[in-house]
Amino acid sequence: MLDRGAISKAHHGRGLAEWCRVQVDLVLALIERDVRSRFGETGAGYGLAFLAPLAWIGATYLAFWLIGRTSPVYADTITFIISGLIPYALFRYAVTAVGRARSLARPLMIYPTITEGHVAAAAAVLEFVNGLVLLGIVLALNWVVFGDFEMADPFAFLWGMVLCWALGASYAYALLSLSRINSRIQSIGLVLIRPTFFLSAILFTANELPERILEVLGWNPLLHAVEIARDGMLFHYESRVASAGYALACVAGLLLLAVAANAARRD
Amino acid sequence: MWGFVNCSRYFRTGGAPMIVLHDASLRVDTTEKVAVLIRAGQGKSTIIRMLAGLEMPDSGTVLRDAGGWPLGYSGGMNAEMTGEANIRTLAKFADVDPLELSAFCYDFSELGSAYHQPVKTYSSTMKGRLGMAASLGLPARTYLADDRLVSGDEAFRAKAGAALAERLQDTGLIFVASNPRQAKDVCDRYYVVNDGAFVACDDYDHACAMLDASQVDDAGSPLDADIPLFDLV
Repeated sequence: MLDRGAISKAHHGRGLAEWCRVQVDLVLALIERDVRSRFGETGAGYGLAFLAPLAWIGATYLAFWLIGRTSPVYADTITFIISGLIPYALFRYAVTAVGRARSLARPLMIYPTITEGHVAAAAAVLEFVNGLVLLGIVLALNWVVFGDFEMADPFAFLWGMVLCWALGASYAYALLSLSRINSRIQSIGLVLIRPTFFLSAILFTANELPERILEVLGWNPLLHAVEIARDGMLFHYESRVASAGYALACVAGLLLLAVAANAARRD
Repeated sequence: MWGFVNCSRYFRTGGAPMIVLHDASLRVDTTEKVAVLIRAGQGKSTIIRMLAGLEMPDSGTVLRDAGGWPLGYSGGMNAEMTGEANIRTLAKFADVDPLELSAFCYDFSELGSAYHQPVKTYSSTMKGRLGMAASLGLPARTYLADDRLVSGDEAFRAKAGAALAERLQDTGLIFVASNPRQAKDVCDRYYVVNDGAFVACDDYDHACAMLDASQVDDAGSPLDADIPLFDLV
């Protein structure tokens, strides 16, 4: 039989560092569980998880070819597409993964240590790691198949990825929290982001937009995050609008909204 | 401390309103053994879900302690993972040594080599054994039990019952059930949910009589031995 004294040690009198360690362990355990439920014991499902974004890139390239569009900057078309599409894919996958947190958490929340926030955090972290793996696969394929590789500033590109991911995760978490007040909010919020594929400088660059249109699209924080990533990847592109501060302010705003919604529901 | 303070919870089922709780209050200390009896289909699982924090009341406050673990619950097991991997994950959820919990569950569940197979290959009895083993190994301060305390074949029920009785010496229990039999000799206090309120009963017999009476009022027939029962050893 287990030492029941351990129970008290686990729940009482621990400091902040110990509390943080427990939270990290919980999130890691949930990530491990999520990986196994999404990809199965064999790991064969891992390949399938990355096929969809690869098909997305292929379809976009095909669309470019059909309408005769080429890269608007001095870079090959595939590299131009992936400079915007990979960060955007990370945004969308973060939205989807965090949005699933409630249904994933449902059978687990009867355990007193697990909250919806833990499950959402685990889903978001796993999606970020998946995004990095996807990036590696896509860059390697582009180099091996087409002989093209660009990465002007890896840290700037990674920063753009982080911002896209944070925007997706915080947006989905805000929707998740608001949907406790009204269950329709989440579905409405998911519909609202559909046009972002066409409005976030994925198929074009912000620099080529007329000033009047940029004034409107510039309110879209995802456009800024994608531009930061593109600036980091392409050697011959320097965005004139990318603002990390604006994207970060939006992330903070969305998280505050989530906190407020959770507090309102508790009251 | 567990319980409800002026809690109300209503449903609308098939167009008709159903009252689970109406301005109801109940206080249970962490290590108390309390049975809450309620007619089948009148919100038994809703009460457990509110205590577990899965559901909020329409009004009022639910008192919850941090150390409440479900008893015999296997719904959180991942079907793709082995029994062992599930138990190790549970150990991480509970912040206990995964090896120690896994060794305990392997022994207690008596699943043998199946313990290392994916849970999707388990029968419901095997899942029940694993769930029960996990519950007894986890560091609960209060168990939350939904309708049954122990299940499985006769030998396993006897073993689990004895282990549970030992754990209940210093662990609390809130047992929400529609059939009172398993609560006998286990619980110290009995309540019957009647018209949305927790009605305190003097003892087990009084609780059974009150539950029977409420069943007659509601359905026109007294409560019979209509559910397979497992006497706690």
